[in-house]
Amino acid sequence: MFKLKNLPILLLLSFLILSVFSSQLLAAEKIVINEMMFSGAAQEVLIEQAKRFMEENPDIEVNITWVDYASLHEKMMTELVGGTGRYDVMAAITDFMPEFIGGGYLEPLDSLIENDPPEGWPDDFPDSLLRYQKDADGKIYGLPWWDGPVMFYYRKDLFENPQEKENFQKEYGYELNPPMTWKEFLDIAQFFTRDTDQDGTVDFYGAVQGARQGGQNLVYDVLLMFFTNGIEILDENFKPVFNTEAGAEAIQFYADLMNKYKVSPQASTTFDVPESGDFFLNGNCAMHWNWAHIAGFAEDPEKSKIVGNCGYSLMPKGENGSNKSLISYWTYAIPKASKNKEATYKYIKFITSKEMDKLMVEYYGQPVRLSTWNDPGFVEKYPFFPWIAKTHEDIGVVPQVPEFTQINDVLQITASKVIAQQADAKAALDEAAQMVEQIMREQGYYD
Amino acid sequence: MIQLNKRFDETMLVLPATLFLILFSIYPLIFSFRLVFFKWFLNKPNPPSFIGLSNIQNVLLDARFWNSLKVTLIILLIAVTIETLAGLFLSLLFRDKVYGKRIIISLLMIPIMISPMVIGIIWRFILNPEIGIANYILKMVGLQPLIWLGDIKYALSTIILIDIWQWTPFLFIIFLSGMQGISPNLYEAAEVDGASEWGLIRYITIPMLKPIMYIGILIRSIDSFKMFDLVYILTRGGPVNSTETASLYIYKTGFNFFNMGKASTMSYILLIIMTFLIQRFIGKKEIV
Repeated sequence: MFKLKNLPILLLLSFLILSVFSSQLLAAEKIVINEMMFSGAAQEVLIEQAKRFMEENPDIEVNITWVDYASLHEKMMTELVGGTGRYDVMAAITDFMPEFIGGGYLEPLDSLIENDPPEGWPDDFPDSLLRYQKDADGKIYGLPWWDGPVMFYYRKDLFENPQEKENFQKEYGYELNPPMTWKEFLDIAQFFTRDTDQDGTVDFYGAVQGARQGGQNLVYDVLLMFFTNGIEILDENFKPVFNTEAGAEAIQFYADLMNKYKVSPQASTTFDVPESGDFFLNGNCAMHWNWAHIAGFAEDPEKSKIVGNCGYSLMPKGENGSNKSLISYWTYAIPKASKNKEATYKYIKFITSKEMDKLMVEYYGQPVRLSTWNDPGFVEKYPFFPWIAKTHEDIGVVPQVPEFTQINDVLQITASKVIAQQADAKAALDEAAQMVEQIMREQGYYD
Repeated sequence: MIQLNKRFDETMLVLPATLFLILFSIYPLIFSFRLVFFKWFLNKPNPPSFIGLSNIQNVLLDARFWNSLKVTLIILLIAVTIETLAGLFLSLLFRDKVYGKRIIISLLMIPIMISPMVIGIIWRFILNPEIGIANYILKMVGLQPLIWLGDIKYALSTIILIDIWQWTPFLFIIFLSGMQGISPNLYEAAEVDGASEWGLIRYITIPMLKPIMYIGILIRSIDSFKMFDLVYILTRGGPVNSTETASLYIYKTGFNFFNMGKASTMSYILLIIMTFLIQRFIGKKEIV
């Protein structure tokens, strides 16, 4: 029998039940897009872009799950293979694309693009940013969002200092300019490596490297040493071809910067992308190469102690190489298992729009559109823009095979061995080539 | 009839737990064991294909696997030995009344209360070659700073030291609890017979503490054998795989390279080795 004294408890219970289910009911009216994104340089701008999208589309909610780079491949792959549909959109770097596309895990965007093309499609995007998210038939699986060429940076204030120029000319017999060759790079690095406070230890270096084994950067440095020396990784039959004398010299040179010439701190073996970038941005060295976001960070007083003093150039080259750089860019891709493909496409079309690409610049990010790169206002404010376009003129990419993760691991261990002076460079590369060949054979490339 | 009802009730009561066990323990075990005989790359659309004993042969011939096992055993032997000795020493120090004992013990317990991932992150900062306090102290006392985690000479020792720092309190508290259970009469009788302090420790404390010590050592050994989080955060197994433990290599094989057959095979080989070692350890001791 109902008693009056039970009324407050019943009212409280009812209130609690309604609170829980009302939020569910309200949520059910909204489409929820779940996104997986790596936590790093792009975080701030994406939060703002997503916020603006939700303001314009109040019926759509965007939830972003941030994952550190080291875990990103594993988490994306397990979600895609599981076909859970838990995520509607993933920021897929082009390194992963051959694996994702080859596995059939992503939704081709061609029909969505045909019905509702992004602004300026495709002419407003450089070809180099549309190439690596396509399959063999030309179907496209991602819209480019964050560009990522590796750029070469140097301390403009030091290079333009008249006294430094005069001293360098006297010592090396040629003018101090951003290095175009690795020989010039070494001369300049040795010139600038100094004990500025006379305490017996070097406190300013010629350069810094991101050489941590198991990190993000080391494999890219290895590839850059190969590219700039005219060395390829795999030939047209997928056989490894990097274990040449030239390849060995390139890797040995990379290791010698730390060990023999000591123009790069030994601590470089603990540095990845952020740490090596910070080392340069804190004014501890004269030269550095890193992803293009460093160009933006260098001009941000909250992130840099060298604002206004960062110069940009191309990667130095070896004797038989070119000033070739490396690209890995982020695209927005839709998993096949997503249940909200149209809403998701609306979202990725928004965040890759001209307006959002320009917003990227305000957050010191890496825009992908030619209209942004060539915007006269931006070129004046951000002097590195023309260098992004120049860098794109001669650019390489990681081997476009699904087995890249394993090849990455082999190359990192090999470089680490040479840096730790545990192996001769040629022997280490020969061993690496055997391992890469075994990996490819296991996957049936040579049948 | 009553018996049938009773049996039915008993069955229904254990059914949820049984189903849970089957779904989340037995089925995964059978599935993962089956993978030992199959080639299956999770990131490829090809289904698993039967390859017999090839995975086993592959792993037994894999120098990297044996290196990872070597690294694991080095960490286990050195870390657990030093943790045992240090834990014993601390428990002897604190078994009697000591001023501030409770506060000191609480502070000593902090490392085991923090997640290993957080421990790794904290130590990465402490050991940062440029801004870390460890090198700052070295420079202050006139020593050369070290590349703790990036130099092949020091990386493994550094991992072992951090493990010792984290887990010595665990053995300390177990041994201390064990010591509280030793009857004071034994010590009184020995003192009357003229036993020295060292004699009391050697002939009473340690023998009485042995079963507890063996359990503590066993638990720590099993934990060390599975070491993953510390090396993942601090070194990712580098430089040159000098800190790559077996668990880390299995993880990379399964979740970076997605070679599920090989990862499963390595897991079972590791399980066999661990079981063998534990059996050898338990067999000689008065634990059970």
